[in-house]
Amino acid sequence: MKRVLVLLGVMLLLAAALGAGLATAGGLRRVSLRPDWNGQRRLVVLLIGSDLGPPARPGNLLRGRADAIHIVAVDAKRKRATIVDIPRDSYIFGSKVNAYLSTRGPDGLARVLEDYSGLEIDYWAATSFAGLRRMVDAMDGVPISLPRSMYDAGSGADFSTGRQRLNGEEALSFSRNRKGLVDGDFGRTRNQGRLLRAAHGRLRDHRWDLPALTRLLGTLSRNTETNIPARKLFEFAQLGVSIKRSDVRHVPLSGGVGMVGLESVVYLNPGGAFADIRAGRIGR
Amino acid sequence: MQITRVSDVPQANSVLRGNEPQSGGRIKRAVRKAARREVSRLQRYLNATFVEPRTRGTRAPLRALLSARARRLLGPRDLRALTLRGGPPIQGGRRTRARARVVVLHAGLRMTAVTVTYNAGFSLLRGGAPQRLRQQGSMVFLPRAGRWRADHVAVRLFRQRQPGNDRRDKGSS
Repeated sequence: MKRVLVLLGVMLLLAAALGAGLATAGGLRRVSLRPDWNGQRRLVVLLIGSDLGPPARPGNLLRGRADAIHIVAVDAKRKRATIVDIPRDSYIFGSKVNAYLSTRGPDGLARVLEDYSGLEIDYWAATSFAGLRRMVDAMDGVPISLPRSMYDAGSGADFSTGRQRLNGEEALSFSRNRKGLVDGDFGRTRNQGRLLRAAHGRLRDHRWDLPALTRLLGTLSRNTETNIPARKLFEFAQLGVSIKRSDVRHVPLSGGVGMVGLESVVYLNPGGAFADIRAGRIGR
Repeated sequence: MQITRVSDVPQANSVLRGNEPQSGGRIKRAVRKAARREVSRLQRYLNATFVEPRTRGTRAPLRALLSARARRLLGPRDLRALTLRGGPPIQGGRRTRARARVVVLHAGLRMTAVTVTYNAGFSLLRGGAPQRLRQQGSMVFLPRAGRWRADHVAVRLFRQRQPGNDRRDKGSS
């Protein structure tokens, strides 16, 4: 057995030497330059999925209700990120958090979450159902691994167990499904966070295919309302793709459920999620 | 350098409000102008690095090509690939066929990123021996303090067989 291993090792070394020789003969040289982010060290972005937006739900998406709310904190120097999922039914300062988008707009929602979390939100970005669908399709789908099957006629979610690539329509169903999950709103929000991580992975796949990355950024930009300046978009993308998938921490917030009047609400228990970000403990 | 294709990628998000992004004649002209401008910048760098007697083999042409942030990342290996520094001196050179495809990201009339994917060949005389080189890859040009410079670079340099044979060496493919 030992001899076989030694022989295998020698063969591998020979193959490596031969490969190196060939590369030298061809004079192959590569240059891969991607400058570091030169803005602030910590960046906090609020991501919002609105329930309004044409064609299915005409109206201003910035005045809809927020069906998906996620805070993404990035440590630009250490190239790490944390995604915090906030259930839409969370009861914050006397109202469901999803209503703040319709009553105060994205800036107002950001201020409420700043007060709640103690974080300073630098930017926000919002999309609609159709926007999410188009973005996922432009990425050629996103890979998701499901520990158990999922079915919900209302959202259209019908997925078997295991790894699969979701197209835009399927990704939308996956992120909207609540009734087919044992933990309801918590589970739905957690799945949205998983979708975000998967989308980040797809964006990172294109980090050295620069024409594809440019086209993808165009699609993301066309399907998002944001206060990130258009001229800064590529720099944000450079920062995003420089973060390894394994350095993204996903924190689905937990809590309890209750009733306020006739409405079912979530009482959040953020634990140390926001304190960690405030203390600079971002990512894994 | 021949531009074989210019793709126009709008950032305007009017599609979210149910409208198509603007794509009028003025925008198309501005997109083509930006594409030509950055391809010219790339071509000037290629000529200065591989052909011009005064500047070839030096790192001077990189100043007009790369952003300050990108230049700070340059290591010896990058310099060898971008300027041929560290090898035999270039005694003579001429450009052979070069082609480029361009993707322009824009918010209306404001251009925000220009990505040039190119493939350029050169016939050089280095260290007394003729040599054919090909540089190919992509560069993203971004506006930096009012100047457009390449900020994100993914480029490869190949040495090809002797003149008269346009095929790549086996090891470099």
